[in-house]
Amino acid sequence: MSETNKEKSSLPIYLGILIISLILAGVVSFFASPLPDGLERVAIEHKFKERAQENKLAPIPDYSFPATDTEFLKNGLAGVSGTILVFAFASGSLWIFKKIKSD
Amino acid sequence: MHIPDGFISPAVNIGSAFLSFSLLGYGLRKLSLKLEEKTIPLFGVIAAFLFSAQMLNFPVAAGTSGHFLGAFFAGVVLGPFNGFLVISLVLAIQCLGFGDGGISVLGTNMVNMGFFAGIVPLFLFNLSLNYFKAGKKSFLVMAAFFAWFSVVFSSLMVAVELWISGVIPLKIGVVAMGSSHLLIGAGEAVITFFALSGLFNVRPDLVKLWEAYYERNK
Repeated sequence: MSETNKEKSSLPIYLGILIISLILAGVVSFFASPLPDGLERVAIEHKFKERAQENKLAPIPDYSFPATDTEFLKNGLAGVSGTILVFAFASGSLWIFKKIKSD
Repeated sequence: MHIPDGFISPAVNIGSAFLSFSLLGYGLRKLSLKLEEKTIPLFGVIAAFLFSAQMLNFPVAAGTSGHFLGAFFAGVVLGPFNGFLVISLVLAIQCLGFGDGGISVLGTNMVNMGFFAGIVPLFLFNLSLNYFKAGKKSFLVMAAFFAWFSVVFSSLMVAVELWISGVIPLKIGVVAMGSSHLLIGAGEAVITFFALSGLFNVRPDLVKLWEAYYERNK
């Protein structure tokens, strides 16, 4: 590891990855393929898809944000809220974990 | 590859829940020994990247789509067990928040995507790095290959679990899951290659497996 890298702040790269993720989840994902994925396709072709039970507890089912009727917003808000939630949970829980461990 | 409730038998789900909790516990313990405060946000942004990239289904042949999985990528950047922690958190939030993957099957999904598509191929990747004395370029190419392998291998393990659960005969499941995931794995390889080379361009020191490899061979 070179010294110059060690001294560089990591903030720009962290922000960069976060912003890319927000754009992917909030905007680009609207244009994602609606086709069934590999496992779903196999389940349809081999007739065991009907065994699947819907997971009804989820507040944002199927990546579709409930509080709006616009498809683009339904998808985008689900993506953005999920990305922020995942970021907050991952860094928040580790931060608390670190605090507990160092006490 | 997120399995919904109802496909997998309770015996398989209980077994894999046990395995995934053990791996989570081991990962956290290992992490607690040397977690630096300044690397915590890296865990957060890699997790966020996995969540967002997993929303981007791309079409593959025959009316099927696939998406980036990223467990292997996360492990290359953060280390194999840290990668397992990150993909597990993403899976838990997808399951509880977005109804993607069943609740009773969460442990099985963690084992499939975190262990079979993460820890196992990462171990093989590390082994082969030492055989080939890799520079940055061959590191990237080998990472792309094992990213492909991670998707194909875990899809085959899903076929095995479906077979044990009495849902589909083994041969049929292996052929069906394997054939579609040969192509989905190619997408995984391409995305892993470009995401890693992007990181290499700005901050190679953030790629943990590369740093570890570099230190070993100095």
